Amino acid sequence: METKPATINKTLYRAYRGELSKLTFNSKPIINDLSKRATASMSEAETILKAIEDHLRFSVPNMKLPAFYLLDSIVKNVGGMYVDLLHGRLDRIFVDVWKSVDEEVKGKMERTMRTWRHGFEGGPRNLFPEFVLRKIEEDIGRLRARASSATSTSFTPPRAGDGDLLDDLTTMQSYAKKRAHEQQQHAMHQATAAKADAYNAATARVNGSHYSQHSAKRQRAPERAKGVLNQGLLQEVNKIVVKKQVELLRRPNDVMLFNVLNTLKELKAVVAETELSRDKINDIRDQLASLDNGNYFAGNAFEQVQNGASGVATLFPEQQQQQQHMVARPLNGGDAANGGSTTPPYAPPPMQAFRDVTLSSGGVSPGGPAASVGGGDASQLLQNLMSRPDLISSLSKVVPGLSSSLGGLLVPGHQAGTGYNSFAQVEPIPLSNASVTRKREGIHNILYQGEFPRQCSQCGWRTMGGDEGRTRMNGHLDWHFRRNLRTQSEKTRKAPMRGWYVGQAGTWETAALADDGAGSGQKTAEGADSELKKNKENGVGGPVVTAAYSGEELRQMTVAVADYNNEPCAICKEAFERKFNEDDESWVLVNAVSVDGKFYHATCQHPDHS
Amino acid sequence: MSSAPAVKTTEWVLGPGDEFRFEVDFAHTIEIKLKRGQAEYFGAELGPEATYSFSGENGAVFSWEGCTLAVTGESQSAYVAGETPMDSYINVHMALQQLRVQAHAEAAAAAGQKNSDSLAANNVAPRVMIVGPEDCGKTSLARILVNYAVRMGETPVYVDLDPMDASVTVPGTVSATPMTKPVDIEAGFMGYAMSSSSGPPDTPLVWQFGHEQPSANSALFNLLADRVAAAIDRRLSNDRRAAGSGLIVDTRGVGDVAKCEAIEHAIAALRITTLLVVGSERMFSVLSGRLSGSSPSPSVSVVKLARSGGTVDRHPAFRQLYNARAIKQYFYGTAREPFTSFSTIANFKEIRILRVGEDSVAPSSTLPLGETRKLTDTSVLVVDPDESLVHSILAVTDASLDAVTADCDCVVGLQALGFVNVTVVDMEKKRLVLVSPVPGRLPKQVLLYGHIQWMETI
Repeated sequence: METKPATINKTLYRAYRGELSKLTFNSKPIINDLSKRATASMSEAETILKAIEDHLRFSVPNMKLPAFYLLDSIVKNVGGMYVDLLHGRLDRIFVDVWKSVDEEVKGKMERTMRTWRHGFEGGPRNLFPEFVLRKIEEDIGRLRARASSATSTSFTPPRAGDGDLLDDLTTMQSYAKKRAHEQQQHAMHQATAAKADAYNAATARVNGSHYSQHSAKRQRAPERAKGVLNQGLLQEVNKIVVKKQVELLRRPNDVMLFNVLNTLKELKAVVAETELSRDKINDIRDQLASLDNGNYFAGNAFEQVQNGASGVATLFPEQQQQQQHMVARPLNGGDAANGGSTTPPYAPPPMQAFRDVTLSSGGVSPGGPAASVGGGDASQLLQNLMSRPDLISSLSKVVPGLSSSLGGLLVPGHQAGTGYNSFAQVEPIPLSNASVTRKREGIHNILYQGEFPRQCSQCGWRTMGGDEGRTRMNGHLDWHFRRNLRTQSEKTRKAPMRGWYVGQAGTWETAALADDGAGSGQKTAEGADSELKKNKENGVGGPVVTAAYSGEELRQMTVAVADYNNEPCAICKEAFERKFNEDDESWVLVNAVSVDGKFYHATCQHPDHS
Repeated sequence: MSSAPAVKTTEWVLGPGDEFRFEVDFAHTIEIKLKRGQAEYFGAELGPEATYSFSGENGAVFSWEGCTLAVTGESQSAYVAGETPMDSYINVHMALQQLRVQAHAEAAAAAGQKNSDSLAANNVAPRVMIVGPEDCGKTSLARILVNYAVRMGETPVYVDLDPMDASVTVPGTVSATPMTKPVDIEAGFMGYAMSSSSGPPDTPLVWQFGHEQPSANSALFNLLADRVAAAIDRRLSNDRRAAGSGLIVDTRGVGDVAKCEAIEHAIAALRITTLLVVGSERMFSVLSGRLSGSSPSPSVSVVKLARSGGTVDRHPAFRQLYNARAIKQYFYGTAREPFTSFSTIANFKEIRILRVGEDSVAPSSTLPLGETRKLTDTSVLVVDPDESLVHSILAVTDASLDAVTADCDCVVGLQALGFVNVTVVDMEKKRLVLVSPVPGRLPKQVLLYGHIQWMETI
């Protein structure tokens, strides 16, 4: 869709992009807020849509879904101009996002799309005309088919964050230390943004509309019949991709580096799928070499954009022409993302991709440079963390238990009906009388099927779905089984004892003695430990759990007997060893316990005894 | 209602949001089985294939989406109620849960920054206290909140500052228990000692208070509140996860708002962030006024909640039986999860029985009308064993005999290792016969006297 720059309100555009940068996870309040702003700016619908479109295009894959949900929210709750304006470009937006996200998110997007078709809120008509929706479905179907055939050529498109997740995690953890560095970068980015604006204005003058360039540059490289794979080149590209990934991990909020990386990946895909002439390959090699060695990505954003701006003209003169040619062609939104149907015959795809770098670096900066990946402070870090399910799953390896709570914050399925299906869907509930007394229909579902669909029929215990839930449920059922076995055997013997409260000295402190000052100076933690040990030696006390006794300790247990008639142990029928206790002046049985007037060997009576 | 023959099974159909309430005395038992749908008993979900039996309980089975219950046995009253405060209770839970999630996230962020001094989680972790008049459903609300939290994977610390009604242990105590599993439907908080699939049984921290009313010795009670707070802090500083789950504090019901100094002290000591006032507008307005004005606790959000229509005024006889059962359960467990206790002998000369606070200064009848005697004393006195000790519940403390001989004040505020029941005082042989939860000699020889008594009846 051709857009006149005049219809774009730059101030609003930038403000809205800024707001969008906060949408790093599926937060209902933020989405609501952004939808409200969209309602208020109905007359500037074009600007708002442009902002969302650009945000969708330039943000990292993990943040695309929330932005997509925002689009969905605007379409459903605001409607009006927005729906009309989207008719032409929805397909392109959808497919672009769809292509860049993983399978799970793809599924969520498709689910959302289906809600457009069946008529929102049970209405009789589709939200969008049938042909728009069908087009998207066809495109998706085609892309899926291609993806499945692409895997057979041993090529899988890499995703962002493909590096070692734990590395990734440590990088994120050390954000705080890099705060100062980031702020410096931020300043640089802002300077860059000013430059880029100037550049954009210049190109706009040259090309008529720089926005249409944006549409043009996303045009997929032509997909020719898969020919000979150029393994050598592919390897080289791969090497640089890995290098840049490492660099990105080091500077995770360098938007340009990110874009470069994406471009490289695109390039990789193109190289893998396209037959290239020797000349072109050499060309690409040269470009790669300069890209790899030069300080093109050295982090100096200033130089980068300047290089980029002039580089377009000097490095790719013939593409410059070609680009103008493409701009001149009437483009329609639906067509643009069609992946290969409009193929300029003489445009070598890698060059096209390279230009993307320069353009997108110019294009993304005004929106808020450090927005898409990471900020410095803790809440930002958290939001980033939450927007990265992969990180959380790797985090759970390091900190088990954390994942369940953080998992609750993960981007949930879009709210389908009235009920709540996950805790993350609950809007913030302030602890005030009015808020607490308000009835929230279906909120209880979180405690039931919503988050814990698996239930133990014996005791009502619930756990989450998925593989983890299955493992937990199996563990739980095993526990039931063991417990039933034990209670059966206990009936023939005896119940366990309750024991003393203070056990597990490490978890619960032994006593509040440490701060007791006078009279209990020796009762340090160490003292408490030795006390505990002494208790065990005496055959009494000790931790609550009887299992805490070792075999040796059990054998040292004694029981005082006054009227012992040489009865053997009631379990093993063997006689007891007797000993005279000097302190008590009484006979004691060694390795013995007395239960209900009967004597047992401590080792026989112990629950672990089999 | 009670004229029906011995055993009959009734089916009760509950609509969405309905609650089946029953009162059953200690002489009878009813069995409840879930036939259809889902239901929960004070926040703990009923298992679809399990049968639950209750005796001496005022209970309520609530269903969010409706269910059918098969109820066998005779009860004093049984009815289905449509109006419950559950909507507001679950909202409170969700609001608290949001704070917990935030606390965990902040703790994780702090851990990521390798910031060793990360008690930051404590700043947002909800530390909830429930207050209200007597018999307004405070413990039930605490139970619901604990259960909901545990069901969502949290491990809140349940703090019982109600020495009158026994929960995790014998009455006359205060306690703090990290809850890792839902409160058992039949055994209640006493079921903490049951093992569960989530790990070993929870271990409570228990302090002997020795009286049923906090006002009986408010100085000691306040001191214990400080000790509870200190012990919890020590525990939570080691366990970030539990720290983020916060506290749920149950308190003794107070009839008169003017007399809740003990509560105010506990609010400050435990650094309460949320105060839930159940069933008393007056207490809400007084407390919210006081707490918003006072500087030591500026961030307490006070919320008022309706009391459930199912709350029953328990008369003293019922309480007595209830507490006697709790003591019995301490020594012998429940029918489903029995424990063995052991008889042990302690010579007078090898044990020392101490009591905290002056007693028997003057008979209560000599006090002015309407006054109750208050012990505001935390001085320690030695109790010479005599026949009056029989049936007493004594707390076994961690203090050693030597330390006590040097300075017996050190037992004030000491945790209890457990409790023994005096069955026989043999003045001739100068020894006590005790029932103990552990076989063999007592691990410690310093016992703390309390006013709680129990006699084993078979």
